[in-house]
Amino acid sequence: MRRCKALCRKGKKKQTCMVCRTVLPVLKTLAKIALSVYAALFTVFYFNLDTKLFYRIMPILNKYHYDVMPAKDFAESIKGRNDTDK
Amino acid sequence: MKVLNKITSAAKSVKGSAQTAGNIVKDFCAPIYNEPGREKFFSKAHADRLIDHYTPIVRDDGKTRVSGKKAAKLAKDFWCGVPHGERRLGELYIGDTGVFRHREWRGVVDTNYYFTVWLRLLGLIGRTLVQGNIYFLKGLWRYRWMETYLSGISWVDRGNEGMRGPALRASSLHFIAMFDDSVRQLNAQFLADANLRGGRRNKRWYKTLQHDETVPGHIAYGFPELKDDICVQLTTCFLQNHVNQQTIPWYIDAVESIGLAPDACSLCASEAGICVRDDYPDFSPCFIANNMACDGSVGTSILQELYFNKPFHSFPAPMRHDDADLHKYTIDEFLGCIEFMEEHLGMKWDWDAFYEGIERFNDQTRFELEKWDVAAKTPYNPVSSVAQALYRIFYFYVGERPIFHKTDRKVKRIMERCVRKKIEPFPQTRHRALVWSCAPLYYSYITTWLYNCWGINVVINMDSLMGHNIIDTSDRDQCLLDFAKMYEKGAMRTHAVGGYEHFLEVFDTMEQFDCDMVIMFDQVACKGAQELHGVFEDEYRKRDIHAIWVPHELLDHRTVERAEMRKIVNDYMFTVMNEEPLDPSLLDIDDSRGW
Repeated sequence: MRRCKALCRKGKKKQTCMVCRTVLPVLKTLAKIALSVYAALFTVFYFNLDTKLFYRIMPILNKYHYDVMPAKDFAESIKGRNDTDK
Repeated sequence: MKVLNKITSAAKSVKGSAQTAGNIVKDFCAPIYNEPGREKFFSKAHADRLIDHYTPIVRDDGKTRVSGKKAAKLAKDFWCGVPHGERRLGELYIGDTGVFRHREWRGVVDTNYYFTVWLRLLGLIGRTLVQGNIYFLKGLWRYRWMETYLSGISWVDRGNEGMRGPALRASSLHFIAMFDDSVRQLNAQFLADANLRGGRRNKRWYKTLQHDETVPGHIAYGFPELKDDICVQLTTCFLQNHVNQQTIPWYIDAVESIGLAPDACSLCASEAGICVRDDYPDFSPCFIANNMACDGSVGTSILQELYFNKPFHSFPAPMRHDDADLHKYTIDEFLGCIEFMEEHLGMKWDWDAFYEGIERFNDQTRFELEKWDVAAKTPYNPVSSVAQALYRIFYFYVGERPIFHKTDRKVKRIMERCVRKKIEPFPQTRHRALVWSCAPLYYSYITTWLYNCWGINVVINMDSLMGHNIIDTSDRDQCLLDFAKMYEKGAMRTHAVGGYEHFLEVFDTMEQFDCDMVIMFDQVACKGAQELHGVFEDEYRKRDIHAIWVPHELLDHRTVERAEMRKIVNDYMFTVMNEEPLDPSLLDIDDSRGW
């Protein structure tokens, strides 16, 4: 590992250590992905974008869905219901 | 040089992506800011405010300079968070929306901790979608009250406003437990809901028990084969009002449109209103109701019986809950309830399973008493008043669940550390207050505001003091007697009914919890409480107790808005107490259109 590090530092193309050849690049890529995901999620969290999104969506949902749902006539729906019916 | 070039190109690509993302967000968020009276997003005023607050630039007599002192203070505030007394939480609100411009910066450590809390809540939402699959989305589409839960994370934000250190951790754990269990309840309802299956009843429907929110889940302990038991109004009515004040009035208006007088208790009115709007799920072969907390509930039960149109049983408790001769009636009612459940669920009651469930619930009660002990005798209680109050009522009625035991273990560790190291989680406490009478459900976090704005630390509230006896499971008769006593002293029952002397226990409670102030919640539609208003006023005057009367109408925010409640407290603190607020920006905020 020490010899490999020395070779890598000098910019030698030939790398003999398996760790440098395979594991380190994968770890670097994973670290970049993890950092990007953390940054993106933290941005959404800190700037409260999730709450702002729902604050925009909910009035739209109310206007185009819940407010126009067909309403049942409650009095009609419970007509004739009493203990003897069960 | 190569490395420098790499860093520069990476920074350029990040800047480009950030600008694109920023433009998309700006366009999407713009309508939230573009209403009259709201500071425009990316406006000059907004930019000036950002510069004044977050940079070391100082403007003096038209000249700008960089201040080293300000830079050092900013660095300290960045690491530790702005201290209470200097921070201005009111400036985070966007106009009258109640939405934060950005979440609080609580210092590096606490902000990252709260970020993990946020991720956990997102994870719970993800789990909901996976476990509930299409039925959860169908439930959201079918029931208007489900829309409220889209703003669930905002509810946790408001409850934890201003919290730091152990207070943030202990309170967040309570909110996560409630969020977790709400998710469980919603899934349990929708997976068995016949309404979402065109009226078809699946196997789960036959093995789920539906009961009133004031009937505790303990009644299901004796049926280990039961899939689940759900307090049907907990998620549809009670909790959704804490999360979003705007949804419930729709149901109250519905029941008033069929003739209910508008001065009826809004809790009962909204429960009945959900029947009128046909918005209860149908997930059980039977329903258990009761007469808690008062006769208003009896009226609601009549309407619910007609609406549900299924085998219906009432499990009432006597009003005079401290009369030793009356406990036997509660026991008889409980045994009758067991027979009813056996008949309609097709299961046999198992006493051993019941005792095991009760013993697990006893553990929760024991820890609750420990928390009260710490709250009463020391300043080291880390649980915020709103987290404590909601969690208490939640687990009392839901019954014992693994998430509550897990939460209690973690909170116990935090509390023991605070006591051992003498850490004061609420260091700016100026007054220790007791909250008495029914709390406003549309503004449950008024207690958070009281601490942040005025340093009034609410130590305990009336409803939390409900049935807290340890139930002895070594003997069946004793177990039934103890359970009856606990059941009779449910929420809004222990003190608000059963004789005026219970309501006047406020003075003993103040002494026990070492409080110097009372916040009297004045529920304008509660006739029982209104009758004693004059007696309370006389007694407070006689004993020279600072009592702030805060009116509200339980679930209906339109009668008394949150701003009016805050104004009453502000007036009292300025004129009677002659105090200055810890955070003046919270004095006059407009959240009328907020959740």
